[in-house]
Amino acid sequence: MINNDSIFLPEIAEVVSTRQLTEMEKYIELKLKETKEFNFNPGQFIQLSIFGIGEAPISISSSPFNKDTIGLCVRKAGDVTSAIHKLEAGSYIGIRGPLGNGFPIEEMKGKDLLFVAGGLGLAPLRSLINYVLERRDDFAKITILYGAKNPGEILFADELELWKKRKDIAIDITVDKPDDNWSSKSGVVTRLIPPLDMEPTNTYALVVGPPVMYKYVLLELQAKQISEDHIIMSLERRMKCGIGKCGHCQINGVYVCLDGPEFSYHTLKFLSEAI
Amino acid sequence: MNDILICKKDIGTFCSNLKEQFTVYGVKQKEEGFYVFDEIDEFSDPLKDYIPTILPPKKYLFPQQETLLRFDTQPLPDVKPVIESRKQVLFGVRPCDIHGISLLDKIFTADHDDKNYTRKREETVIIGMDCLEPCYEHALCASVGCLNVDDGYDIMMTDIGDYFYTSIKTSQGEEIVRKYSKYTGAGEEDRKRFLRLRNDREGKFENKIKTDISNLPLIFKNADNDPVWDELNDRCLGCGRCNIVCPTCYCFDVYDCMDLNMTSGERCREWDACTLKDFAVVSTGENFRSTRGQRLRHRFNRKFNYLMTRYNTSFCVGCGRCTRSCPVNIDVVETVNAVIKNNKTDDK
Amino acid sequence: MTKPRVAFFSFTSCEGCQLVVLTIEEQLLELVNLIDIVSFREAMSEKSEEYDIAFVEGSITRTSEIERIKKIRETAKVIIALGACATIGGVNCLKNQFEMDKVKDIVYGKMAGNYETIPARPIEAVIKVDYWIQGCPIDKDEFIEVTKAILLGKKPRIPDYPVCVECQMRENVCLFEKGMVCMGPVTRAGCKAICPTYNDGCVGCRGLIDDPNLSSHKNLLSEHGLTVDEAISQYMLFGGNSKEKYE
Ligand SMILES: Cc1cc2nc3c(=O)[nH]c(=O)nc-3n(C[C@H](O)[C@H](O)[C@H](O)COP(=O)(O)OP(=O)(O)OC[C@H]3O[C@@H](n4cnc5c(N)ncnc54)[C@H](O)[C@@H]3O)c2cc1C
Ligand code: SF4
Ligand code: SF4
Ligand code: SF4
Ligand code: SF4
Ligand code: SF4
Ligand code: FES
Repeated sequence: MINNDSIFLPEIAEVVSTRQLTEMEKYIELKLKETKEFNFNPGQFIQLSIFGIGEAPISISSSPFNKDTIGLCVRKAGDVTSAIHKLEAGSYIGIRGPLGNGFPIEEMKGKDLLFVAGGLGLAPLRSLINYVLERRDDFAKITILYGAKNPGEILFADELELWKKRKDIAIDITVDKPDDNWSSKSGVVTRLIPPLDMEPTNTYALVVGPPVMYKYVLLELQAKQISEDHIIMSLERRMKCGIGKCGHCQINGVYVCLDGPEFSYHTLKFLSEAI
Repeated sequence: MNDILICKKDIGTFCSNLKEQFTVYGVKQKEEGFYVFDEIDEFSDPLKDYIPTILPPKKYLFPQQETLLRFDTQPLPDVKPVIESRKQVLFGVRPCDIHGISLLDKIFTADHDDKNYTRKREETVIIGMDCLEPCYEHALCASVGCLNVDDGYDIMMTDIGDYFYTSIKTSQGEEIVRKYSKYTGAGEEDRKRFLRLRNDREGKFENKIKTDISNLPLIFKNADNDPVWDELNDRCLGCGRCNIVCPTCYCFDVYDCMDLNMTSGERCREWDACTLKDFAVVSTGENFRSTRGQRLRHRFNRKFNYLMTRYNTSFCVGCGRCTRSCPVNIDVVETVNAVIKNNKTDDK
Repeated sequence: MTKPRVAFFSFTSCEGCQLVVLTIEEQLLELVNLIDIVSFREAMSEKSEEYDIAFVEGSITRTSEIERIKKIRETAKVIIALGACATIGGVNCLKNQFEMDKVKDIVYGKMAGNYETIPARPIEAVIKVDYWIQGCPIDKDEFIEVTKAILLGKKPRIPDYPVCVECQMRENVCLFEKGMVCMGPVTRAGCKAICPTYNDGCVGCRGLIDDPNLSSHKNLLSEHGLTVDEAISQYMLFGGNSKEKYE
């Protein structure tokens, strides 16, 4: 929710639990002090405040069916994110949001879904995956592809195990740089796409990863003839306000914070600085 | 209220009276040929032939630095919005700047209402001063459709000799004039004189942009790879002055500033500029507009394509400030015309 | 929370930057609540070999100073270069344009044999530096901001944009528009454009921004009547250490 008195005013939230996922990523669970029910769409984000340090946009990683708490997966990247890593249960922080629009869930219903997550991209996709698993019958075939740099950077390993055990979804994981204990696939996540058996006209591809990944994923998806408006990508840009004022996230005519952060390739291909 | 006449010699008293209720900002000469909006205390003759001020009057609605929140982190975080405003009059705002403020109104109210801006705006009275001649060689107001204003002001004055021919747009404008100014009703002769002067000015303002501006979004859309941007890349210093002086540039940075007690502090915003190197850097280190040419392309597109498309109006209001202040003479008109020349789709 | 111990060190400089630190009276008292100043040549005589944060002023101009600064690096967890001499070499680097023996002769005359001098350099030419507070002298507000940022564990908000941004925000008349010259377009902001505000051209005491357009700026200087040599000497006043960038 955006506050009526000031669009910049965060609501205070308590950190109810934290979990170190990897060396660089920490999962924190928040509970808002005032708002009882936090409603959002998978793919939306919040602006998280550490007062005195600043604000950072972070995707919501928890399931939208959990309206009590908000789960975030945060990579240590700079000032705010490092301060988040120092938080313990019982700390208080500020939140503005949910911001942005999220994935076009209504359009996706009845379709095959192909999730392509690179690194931290699994964070926002996890929210969506949780949604579709809860509403499994609303969707057709589900395939999850996930690539991490190395085995130590794999996020939500326990959940991935659970997903692997399910018979009603397919999941494939790869690492760029395997170590001695790694027995599964290695190489970049794009390599998992060509072998897939897809029905291009009926598939939505949901892609989130680092900026460099998109170009290559796109080539593979286009080779599979998935239509441009069924390829949905979530973009990262510098954000200061999160609500279409500060101009930082602008790509050509669109504001990533306001009009995204998820866009179809059909929109993005006309934006010269997008990918 | 019908149009009125305010005698020039009464203007000083009018402004002084306004101070009873408002802080009054008007134009002062800073140095020979350079003007600024500043608080007016002694009102002698208001300036007449001034050219656009170094900074536009947007600084009174969207200041260079502004506190957004005050917070205390101990024992638990406590945060309060800070929204400052005061009753103020902007006196002698030119048509280009009135358009500029109208565009900022759009930006700061679109989708979410930015109270730090709108609260100031609500408390602001705008008294415009119309232009009958191009103010200086850099003016392109007529060319972008911003010479004529029919909205965005409370009172508009036009110099018709001994009098200012004065049109009142809002009830607040009317109230102020009634309360603080001497005036007489404008007669038929005065009205004719006024209209004649307005008509005559049309010929004096050349159309400098060599196409109908409604064509610009499409032209710019196809001009991403235009050599103009390479040439500007070599020349532009990336100094940000064109952004800072522009009445329609509104980008800002947000940062926290802790007090020395290290427990309380403020969140502030400050003008930012899309021509500066770090404007679009993200946490993974990518810079989505890493060259000066790309950044200027972005700035020009914001004025003539991106925002123009989004809001269906030119986001350059033609004040010529960017051209005047660019140390390496990057001229808005020349640049736009070069883009037009290289990218004309056909000869319509 | 134990207060971090802070030490100030001086190398070849006028010690003007430490003086700035001493002039921040009221805030200094509040600062002392947050930090323990254990060594401060300008302010107190006692010295301590135990410190966490070292502010270092001055450039390295003698071999003995190389050893000394390396020692400081071994002890301090955080090193902040304080002022132009330490951050960019500053005016000390002017002498680098000459042979060192000549410099000694000019400065010390007959006594030259008793002194030893090496080309002046910023401290980062010798050790790793964590933060830089630019300027000749430093800006006291920036000093406080940087100190606070370090205590908070965040990057100080040091501009990487030119002086022009601040100059224009203050609504100054640009000196180029008055027929003067200015290093503002290529110089790092943070001083609130103090020189142009008082009608003096910026001389670049805060060093170059990361990506200056020097060739265009040089053209601009020459359009304003400077010869190539004059333009270069503008850059060299404070930027002698990055000579190769100007030629
Ligand atoms: C919509 C969206 C969703 C996101 N979701 C997540 C998420 O779920 N989890 C997550 O961990 N992250 C997410 N991010 C990324 C996250 O927002 C950034 O990592 C975060 O903003 C970094 O803030 P910080 O204060 O920690 O880092 P900063 O201190 O701002 O710096 C981060 C890094 O950026 C670079 N940098 C910053 N400023 C500059 C500058 N002026 N010049 C050059 N380089 C600079 C530096 O290299 C620095 O190391 C998301 C971003 C967006 C836009
Ligand atoms: S782009 Fe230039 S001419 Fe147009 S409004 Fe901005 S400063 Fe004025
Ligand atoms: S640019 Fe046009 S509207 Fe603005 S002051 Fe000059 S003549 Fe008037
Ligand atoms: S004022 Fe001129 S040099 Fe400076 S950023 Fe703008 S176009 Fe570039
Ligand atoms: S006076 Fe110097 S710093 Fe100021 S705007 Fe002009 S060039 Fe830039
Ligand atoms: S204006 Fe230039 S010379 Fe003056 S203090 Fe600032 S950086 Fe130094
Ligand atoms: S983050 Fe400010 S406009 Fe999008």
